[in-house]
Amino acid sequence: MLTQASFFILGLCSVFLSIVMLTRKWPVTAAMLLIVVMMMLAGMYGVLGAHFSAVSQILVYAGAIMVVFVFVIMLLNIPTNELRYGRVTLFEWLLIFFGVCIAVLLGTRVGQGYLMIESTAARAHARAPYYPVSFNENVKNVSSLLFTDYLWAFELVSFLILAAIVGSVVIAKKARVNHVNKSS
Amino acid sequence: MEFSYIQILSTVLLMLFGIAVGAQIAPIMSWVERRQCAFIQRRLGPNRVGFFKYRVFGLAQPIADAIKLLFKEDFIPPYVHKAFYVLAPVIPVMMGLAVTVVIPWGSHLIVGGEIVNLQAVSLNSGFLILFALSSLSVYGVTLAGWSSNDKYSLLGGLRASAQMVSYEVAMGLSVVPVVLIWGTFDLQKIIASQSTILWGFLPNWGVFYAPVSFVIFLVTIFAETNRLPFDLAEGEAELVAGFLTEYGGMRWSLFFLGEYSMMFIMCALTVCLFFGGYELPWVSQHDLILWLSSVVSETVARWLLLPLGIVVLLVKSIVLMWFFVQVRFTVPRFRYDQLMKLGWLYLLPIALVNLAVTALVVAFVRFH
Repeated sequence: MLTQASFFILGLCSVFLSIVMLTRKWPVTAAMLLIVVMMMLAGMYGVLGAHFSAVSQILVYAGAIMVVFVFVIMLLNIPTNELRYGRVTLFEWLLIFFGVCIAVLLGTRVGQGYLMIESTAARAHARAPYYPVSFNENVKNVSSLLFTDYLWAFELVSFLILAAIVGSVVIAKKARVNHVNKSS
Repeated sequence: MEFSYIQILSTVLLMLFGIAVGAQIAPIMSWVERRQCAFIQRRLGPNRVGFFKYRVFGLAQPIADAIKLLFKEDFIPPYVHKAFYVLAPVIPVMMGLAVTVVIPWGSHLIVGGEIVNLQAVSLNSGFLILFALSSLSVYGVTLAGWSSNDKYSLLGGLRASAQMVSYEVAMGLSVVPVVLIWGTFDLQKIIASQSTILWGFLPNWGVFYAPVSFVIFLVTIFAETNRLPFDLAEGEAELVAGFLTEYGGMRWSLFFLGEYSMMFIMCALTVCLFFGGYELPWVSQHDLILWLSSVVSETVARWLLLPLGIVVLLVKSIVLMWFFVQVRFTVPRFRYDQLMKLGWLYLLPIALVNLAVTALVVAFVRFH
């Protein structure tokens, strides 16, 4: 009962604050609201018993990535009259459409695989959902899954991140070389 | 899940106790800081303010300061971004006091046949919540810098956020070896395994297992709490007062309340991870309870040991905080490029090598 009530309140608050965030004019206000939304999501994970996910949500997203976001917003410090506010291009309408599609897919039974495995024969072959042996060993559960079932996905994601880092370094170097050439 | 009134009440009381200690540490530390500074500079420092005719080494000075700050004019400059200007000083205080719930003040009590854990919040992921919430306190400094609408403040805020992100990496990596050695994130279990004796004469403290981790962790908490060799965010030599330039009165002192309570919580965490927490060095609480149980019942023995544990934890933390003060008036401030170089080129590789070596040793030796 208490779990359902707090989950409902947190979910409602996070949806409401996300909408408020999208309609803000100041980028810093939007960034701060995004941090609050992330903390709400962390609260939802915590209510579900996934304390490690909740803590890493705050630690990684709210505590590290958003700091960099806010840093860039403050460093650029664009005056408000130069901001593009309230106009949505065609491409962005397309993105919004796809976003709604994904939300519907994940939020309804379609995304949870109920329609895909309608026949009992197919359901017998489907992979059983993972249930941890004990909820008191959060970190152990996550790490044992990461190093057994999801090892390939985990390593591939780390490779992707490495590629992104190399790419950003290349872009930064290029800009620097061009700058030096121009000044000389 | 089943909840009993005893558990709920004890959790609330422990949270309030932690918050009270975290908030009271700030004024006391401000007095300690001024006295220690004065002794290093061969002065006397504030030693006059006392209660009526008793001057208790000027210990009433923080009370006088607090009254002065509270009755100052609450002035908001007209050019600031008002909402964030008001919000900014609250964030560090909120985070600094919220994380005090993680500190274990003792092992456990037995109240009405129920075991009451003396750690207010014991999550599955252990002390990681402390890192999560302390990483949020940087928003106070950043927002203060941005909302003040002034270039010195903005520079201070930008410096603070860049510094936090850089040092958080080394900080996180320096704690992982400790977790590997004790095999758990639970502070209670970590402290319990530190209560034995190593090689017959040393207390079984984490600092003897992971000295490199301890040094890196100590350096990074200086950076995380914005203490002096790393207080580039308010470096008064270059940026008038950094992010504090536009603040005055109680709002200004709220930043210090947040800073000191964060410093206390970081020192308490260091004590728990590396110096055996609430346990006395050579005598473990378990032995004391066995010894006391011959005289009184175990319930009473645990109640008797509760103040002892709190005092031991506080004394260890305060010694470490005194070290912070000592460093502040001994080591000069870094230049900003030196700070970044130390963080990324020295601390991070050393922490990585330390982690790899510890992982190998733990894989072969198996401490647990």
